[in-house]
This record gives sequence, C-alpha cells and structure tokens, in this order.
Amino acid sequence: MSLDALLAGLDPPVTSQADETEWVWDIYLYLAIGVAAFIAVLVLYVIIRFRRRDGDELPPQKQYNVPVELAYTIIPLLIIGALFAITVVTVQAIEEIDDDPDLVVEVTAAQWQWQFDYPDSGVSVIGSGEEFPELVLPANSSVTFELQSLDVIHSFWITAFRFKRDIIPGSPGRFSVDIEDVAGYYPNAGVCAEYCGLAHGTMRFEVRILETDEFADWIAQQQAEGSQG
Amino acid sequence: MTALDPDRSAEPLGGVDHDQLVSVDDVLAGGDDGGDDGSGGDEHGGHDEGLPKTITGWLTTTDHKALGIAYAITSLIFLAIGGSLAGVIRAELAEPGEQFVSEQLYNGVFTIHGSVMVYLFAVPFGFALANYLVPLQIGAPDLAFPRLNAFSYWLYVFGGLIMLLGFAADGGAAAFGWFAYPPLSGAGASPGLGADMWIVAIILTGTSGTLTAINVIATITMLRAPGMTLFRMPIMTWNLLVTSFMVLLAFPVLSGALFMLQLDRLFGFRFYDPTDGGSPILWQHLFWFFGHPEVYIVALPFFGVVTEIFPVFARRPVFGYKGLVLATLTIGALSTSVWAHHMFVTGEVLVVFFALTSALIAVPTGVKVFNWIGSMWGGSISFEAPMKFSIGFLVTFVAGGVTGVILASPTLDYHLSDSYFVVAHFHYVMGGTVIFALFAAIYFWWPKVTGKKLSERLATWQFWLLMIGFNTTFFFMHFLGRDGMPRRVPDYAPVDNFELWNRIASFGYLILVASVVPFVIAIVKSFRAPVTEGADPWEANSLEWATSSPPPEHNFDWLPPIRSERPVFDLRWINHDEVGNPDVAEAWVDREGIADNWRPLAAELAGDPPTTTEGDQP
Amino acid sequence: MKPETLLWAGVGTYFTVIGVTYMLVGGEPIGVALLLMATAIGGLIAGWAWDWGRKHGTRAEDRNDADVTDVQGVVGVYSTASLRPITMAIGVTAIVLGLALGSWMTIGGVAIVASQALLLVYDADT
Ligand code: HEM
Ligand SMILES: [Cu+2]
Ligand SMILES: [Cu+2]
Repeated sequence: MSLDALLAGLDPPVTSQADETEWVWDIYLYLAIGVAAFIAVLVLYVIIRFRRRDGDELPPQKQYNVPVELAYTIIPLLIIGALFAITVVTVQAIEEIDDDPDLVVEVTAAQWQWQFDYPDSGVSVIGSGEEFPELVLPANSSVTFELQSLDVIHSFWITAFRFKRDIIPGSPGRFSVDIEDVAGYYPNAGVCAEYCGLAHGTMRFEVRILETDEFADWIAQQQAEGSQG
Repeated sequence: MTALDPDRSAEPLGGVDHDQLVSVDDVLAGGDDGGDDGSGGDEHGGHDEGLPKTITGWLTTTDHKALGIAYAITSLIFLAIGGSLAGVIRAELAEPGEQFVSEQLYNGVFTIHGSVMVYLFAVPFGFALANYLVPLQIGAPDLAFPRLNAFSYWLYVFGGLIMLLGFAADGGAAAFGWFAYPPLSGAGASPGLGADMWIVAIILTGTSGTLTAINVIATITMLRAPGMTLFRMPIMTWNLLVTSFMVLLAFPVLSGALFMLQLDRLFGFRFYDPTDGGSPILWQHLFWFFGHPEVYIVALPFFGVVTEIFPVFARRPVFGYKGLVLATLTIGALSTSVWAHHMFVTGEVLVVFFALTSALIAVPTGVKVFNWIGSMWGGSISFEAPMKFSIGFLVTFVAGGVTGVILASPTLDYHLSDSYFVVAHFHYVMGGTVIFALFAAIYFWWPKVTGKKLSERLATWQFWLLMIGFNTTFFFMHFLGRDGMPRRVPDYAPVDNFELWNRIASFGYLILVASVVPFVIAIVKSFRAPVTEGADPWEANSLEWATSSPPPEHNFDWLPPIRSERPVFDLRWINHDEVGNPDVAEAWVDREGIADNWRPLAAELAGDPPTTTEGDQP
Repeated sequence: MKPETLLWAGVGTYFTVIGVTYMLVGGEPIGVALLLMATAIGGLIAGWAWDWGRKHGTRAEDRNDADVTDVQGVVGVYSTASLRPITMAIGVTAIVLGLALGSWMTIGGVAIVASQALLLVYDADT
C-alpha cells in the first residue's frame, strides 16, 4: 500500500504512464522520508550527546576528516545517480508520442474555459457558464491529446494521469497516454494548472472514462445532438 | 557512529580556564584593565558608535553599519507587509468558495505577497547582512563605495514603495504572479497601471541589487585586512561573495527582460507576443535564468549565518571549511545551470539535461548539511537563541531539500508542478529557512549592533511558536498538492481533504502571527535596557567580535593578528600551548614596539610570561 | 591577487564548459548565450584581478604572514554622509517610473540626475 492511500483524496492512476509515475513517486517519497528521518535523528543525537555539561573542557578542534567528507559527498552522489537513472528511463516512456492512437482529442484552452474536440467523429464539448465541461474518454485505449491555447498560457492537468502539460499560445503541444481498464467518473481530476488570470481558479473540468462500447454510444449520441442543433 | 568520530576518544584540549583566556575587551581596554572580567561592561556604553543621530543623518548616511541597519529594518517591514498579505490568502482559503476578497484582489494579493517576500524582503535582508558584516568580518573600514551603497539602498526603498502603491492604481496591483509570464503580463491581458508599476519597481530593486553586488565584490577583493587571505575569510563572507557574483549574473538579465516586457506593453514591441513572431518561452528562459539563481541568492547569505553560529555555540571550528567553500562555489555554479527545471511541463526544454544538473545540486547542498552537523559533532553545545533558530533552520531546510529532489525529477514534476506541493516546497526552502536563519542572525548579532542581548526566555517562546506554526501552516500543503490542488486559486473543489488541510494551514497562520509577539516584546525590552555586553559576548570566532559593541565609526581601532579564519578564537587561546596557534603568538610578538596595541598578554593576565612565545623573547 | 584571479578564471571556465555542453546537447540559443555571458562576466573580473596583480604585485592581504603593521597609511577616504545618494536615487526612480507614467517623468528625472551629478563633484572630499 502506498503511503498516500492514507491521505485519500487523489484519484487512482488511470493510465499506464501514471502507473509508471506512481512507482517512481513511491521510491522518491520513501527515500525522502528516510533521508529526512536519518538527518533528523542525527541532529537529535548530536544535540543530546554533545550538549554542554558542567565542567566541559574545550572540545577537540579537529577541522577536517577527509574520508568522512568524501563519504558524505560520494554516497549522496550515488543515490542521486540512481534516482536520475530512474527518472530518465521513466520520463522518456512518459513522453513517448503515439502517432497512431485509438483516439485523438484536441484540447483548446482560452480564458477561462475548455473545449474538447474529437476530430475523428466531429464531436465537440465546450464548457459553458457555471458547469464544468466533461472530458469523456474510452477505457482500454490509447489517446493522444493535441493542445492549443487561444490567449495566454494554460496548463492541462489531469490528476488521475499524474501528468500536466502547459499549453503555450503559438506553440501547440501534444502527449499520449494509454488509458487502462478504469471506467469511472472523476469529477475533480481536471484542472488548469498554469495561472491564467482572473478566473483561473475555476477553470476546471470533469473526467469520465467509459467502457469502449459505452464510449461509442456516447459519441453517437453527441453526433445526433450536434446534427439536431 | 564511530566512523564519523575518530577523535572523540582524544582528550579534550586545554582547560576552559577563564583566567588564562584573553578577552578582546581586555585588549581594547588597554593595559590598565587586566583580570578575568569577560564582559567589557559599562566602559563601552558611552562610546560613540557612529550611527546617525538625526533624521537628516539617516537620510544622508553612507556608513555601511547604518545602511545595514536600515536595510534590515526596511526588509523586516516588508516581511510584515508580505506576511499580512499571506493572512489575506489564508483567510480566503480557510473555506472553499469566495469569502473575503474578489478574484481580482486575490490575484493581486498573492502576486504582491510573492514579489514582496522575494524581491523586497529576502534578498534585501541578505544585503543587510552584507552591508553590516562584510567590512567587519574582513577588517575593513567600510564598503568600497559608500555613496554607491547609499544610492542602492534608496533605489530599493523607492522601488518597494512603487510596488506597494500599485494597489492604489486604477485596476489594482499587478496580478500575474511573481514570475509574470507573458502573454498574461502583456498589455492585452494585464492593461493596468499597477502592472507597469510592478515592472518599474523590480527594475529599480534589481538595479539596486546589482550595484550592491559590485560593491561587495570590490570590497572583498580590495579591502581585506593584511593577513586576511581568501581562505581565511569567514564562510559568511564567502557566501556573500558568491551570492554577489550570482546577483551580477542574474539581476541584469531580469532587468533586461523586464525592460523588453515594458517595451512590449508600452510601445507595441513583440518580444514575447506569440501572435506576431514573439515567444513567451523566451521570457521563461530569461526569467528563470534569473529566477533559479535567485532562490540561492536568497538562501546563501542565510547558509552563511548558520555556518557562523554552529561553531560558536558548539565551541568547534567550522567543520570542513574548504569543503564548505567548494560546496558554496559548486552551488553557485550549478544553480545557474538548472533554470529550465521550472519549465519541465512546457515540454519545450531538454528535460534530461536539466534533471541532471538539478539533481546534482543536491550533492553540495548535502555536503553543507553534513558540515553543519560535523561542526557540532564532538562539540560542547549550548542552546542560546541563535543556536535554537539555527537548528530550526537545519531541520526545516532538510525537509525542504528532500522535496526539492522530488521536484527535480520531471517524471514527478509533471504531476506536482504548479500545485500546492510546490508552494509547500518553496516555503520550506525559502520561507522557513530564511525566517529561522534571519532570527538566528538577529539574536546573534544584536549584541554586536546594540551592545545588549535579547531575552532568552522570549526567544524560546518565539522559537517554539514559529516551529509549530510554520509546520502547521505548510506541512499539509504537500498533501494538498499531491492530491491535486493547484496553486494561485482563491477557491478549490469542496473535497473533504482539501477543506481539512486548508483549514489546518489557515490555523497555523494564526500561530505564526502569535510567534511575532514575543519577538516584538524582546526588542522593546532591549531598547530600554542598558548596554551590558562587551566586544565578544558569545566567545565567537570572526573579526567582527574584535571590535567594541557597537563598533566605532570606521569599525576598528585595533585588529588582532589574522592567522586563520578564527582570529578572535586564536587571540582568546593565545596562551595555551595545545590550542593556541603558534603563528598568532609569533605575530603578536612581532608587533612589539610597532603596533599601538601590543601588550604582553599572558604576563598581565596570568602573571606568567607567555608560554608559547617564551623562546622568542629578547 | 593571484587567488582572486584563479577563482574568477575558474568560474569563467565552468561557464564555458557548461555553455558548450549545453550547446552540444541541443540547448536553445538563449540559454547558450546566457551561459557564455556568464563566462564573460567571470572572465572580466579575472582579467581585472590579473591586471591589477601584474601592476601592483603581491599585497599584504594575499600573504599568509602579513599583519596590520605591513601596510601603511590611509585605506581610503570615507565620507560618512552625503545628500547625493538619495537625490540621485529620486532622479533615477523618476527616470524609470517614466516607463509607467509617461515621458515627462523621465525628463524630470534626467534633470535631477544631471544636477546632482554636478553637485557630486563638490561632494568628493567630504
Ligand atoms: C508569513 C508566512 C507565510 C504564509 C502564511 C504564506 C502563504 C502563502 C500561500 C498560501 C501562497 C500561495 C498562494 C497561492 O498560490 O494562491 C504563497 C505564495 C508565495 N509565497 Fe508565501 N507565505 C508566507 C511567507 C513567505 C515567505 C517568507 C516567502 C519568501 C521568502 C514567501 C514567498 C512566496 C512566493 C514566492 C509565493 C508565490 C507567489 C505566486 O504564486 O506568484 N512566502 N504564500
Ligand atoms: Cu489557468
Ligand atoms: Cu529553481
């Protein structure tokens, strides 16, 4: 069980990339706690063990201890090296772009609303007024997001993906994910993470992941509604 | 543990026999005041400390000590202002939904909170330390360019005022965050005068900082006392030297970038405008090329503070002095090569390169932490206020450091960037550490500046309130960020745990406010108290303790021989065979008949001829 | 000045190495330019220190065994008060504030700075 299951609140990872991230997170987190605890204990030990007592003489004045100094340079270097290796491997996997995904979603950000277009089917979801827009995605499929902004910089963050990407006007970006078998409703998963002005705080969206066949139904329904109106 | 401690078995050195110790006060008082009275006492109370006495005096002063004090007071006022703005933030976030302030005002408040804290409080307090301490620590009469120094100070004051006056401008203060990303900071999205004023303010304070940096570098290069070689400078001075060099690299880049931004805004230039060939990413590179060094510009002077304090209260030399200098230089160098880790999520930078440099910086930082612990190891530690706050610094810094390693991994940053995790992280490394070290510095050097000590009892209260308040406010923000709360929002999803952690954080803020009370009382009490302290109330090491408290105009009537980075320590122990540095004794004897302040110390104090120099006596 | 020269030359060298590395791994030109600018600043200080050392030789503060008695005379003249810094700062503030409030402010600022710069001459020996 990962430590932050205790903390609740965060949706479980829904993509294989996010699984990857979770595993790296666990390593870093436990290591961070370990290192912080080690140093805290060391400090505690030092201030208790070496506190001034009555009749203390001047303590030894030795200023250098090269082996020790080397040790606390090299050991962290090795730890950092290992962490870096993990990061490089995973970040490259995460950044891989799928040029032939099951679904392409075009994300358009503008102050302070989201628009999600499904170019293969002509469906378009636009946020309006009070309602947060809903990003609907199929389970068990690969999705590539194409991002563009109409005004300032925004950031497309789906917490269940453990991933965000800035949307910079003038330079469209993209990323791919492989969504797993995780159909469900994630009302708090979608956030604009780059401060974008007045109503940045309410520039959120909801995420719904449907089984593949339900997703096809949803697309068909949207197309029908779209052609009516 | 023994591997770390090959020497604990060794006998302690010398005896702390106060009759044998030489105090600076005895030397300053001249031959007629021998004896073991460690504190110089009242005879220093009446002497002229050279600080201005009138308002005109303060407005026109060019004395580095007066300006150092002015910098400190001004930046503390800005801390109070920034802290009050934080109160607005915490009040608004105590509950989901909008309660106290409008979105527009909230955005202005966090922008000015961040800007005040970074540009007007933290960096200038570093300059306060540089102003007051650098000349004293290297044995100089003033900074190299006193009038330039005063000019820098006033630019900073005016810049700060302009930033705050932004709230009065039509349309309110700047509201684009402290890193002002275009196009949001452009004329289209942020048309108000407040934004222009913010830009002007930071150009002014940036220029002020650049000039101060030149001044500090020139001073350290040209005005060191004889014998004060580079590798005998206190770590504090080293850190300020490296800080100044980083300022020299970073601040002009920021000023230039801001100037370009202002040209975009006013005259329709297109440096950052994506619709017309400009590039928002250009700004980000320029800004973070300044912005990352900036966080070390903030931090390094405070690393210097605790590096001065740990050895004094542990009665040890600073452990691994040369390693520490090297670590400081490495941090300075690396910190200018990591800037794009703030841009991982743009997808437009070399993540692997910057992940590597960012991770590497943890190593010299870790070296510093272990050197601090090493300076206490085997020591005889007492826990007066400066030491308490320094230990508070150490613990807080480590907590912020480990989350920094997490954020340096793009894999993880993709989730955590721009979330409350980041808010927690940077408040640990540049809020908490700065505040702990700042109070450590105030408690430590207050006797030097005023000749009085601050109340230990009140300091203890302040310390614990700060420790508890700080962690209550900021620790749970890690959870908020990891759970998906973005930064810079006046409102958040009404999810249970968001509400819980936010409420706890806002409660913590109240404890933080309470922690100010004992400090203010201590200061007020101190103003009323008589001068009691001599030159060297803590039995410290570096040169600023070799002059009276407060120091006279132009700092030194007399300097001890400088043969290590601890001239005052060396003087104190000059009569002890085991501890005393023979070079110092020799230099002392060499002064016979030349220097005004030579006297046969040991003979007077202990009634014996100086043991270490016996052979050299004619 | 030798240690100073070496220190800043080392800094300059670091930035050359990191700048070139960044260029080779495909870094964008702004970053390369900024890093090489850092080389230049380090080099500038190093060059100055080297030149100074060449002209003036070893100083007491570079020697391990120097003491106060090794230097004679005045370190420099230090004014303790001057009105010029604050007035100049007002002028410069006005010049820059002109960027926000309009060029009339800049013109006023230039006037202040110019007049104060003149007065600075009389200030010189206080
Ligand atoms: C007095 C205690 C403090 C409290 C309670 C506090 C609280 C906060 C909070 C809640 C935010 C996030 C605002 C948001 O994202 O909506 C924030 C932002 C910030 N704080 Fe603090 N803070 C404090 C002290 C400091 C100090 C001492 C520093 C720096 C030395 C600092 C620097 C910043 C910066 C740079 C930001 C980012 C502003 C931005 O997003 O543009 N804060 N603070
Ligand atoms: Cu936004
Ligand atoms: Cu950074």
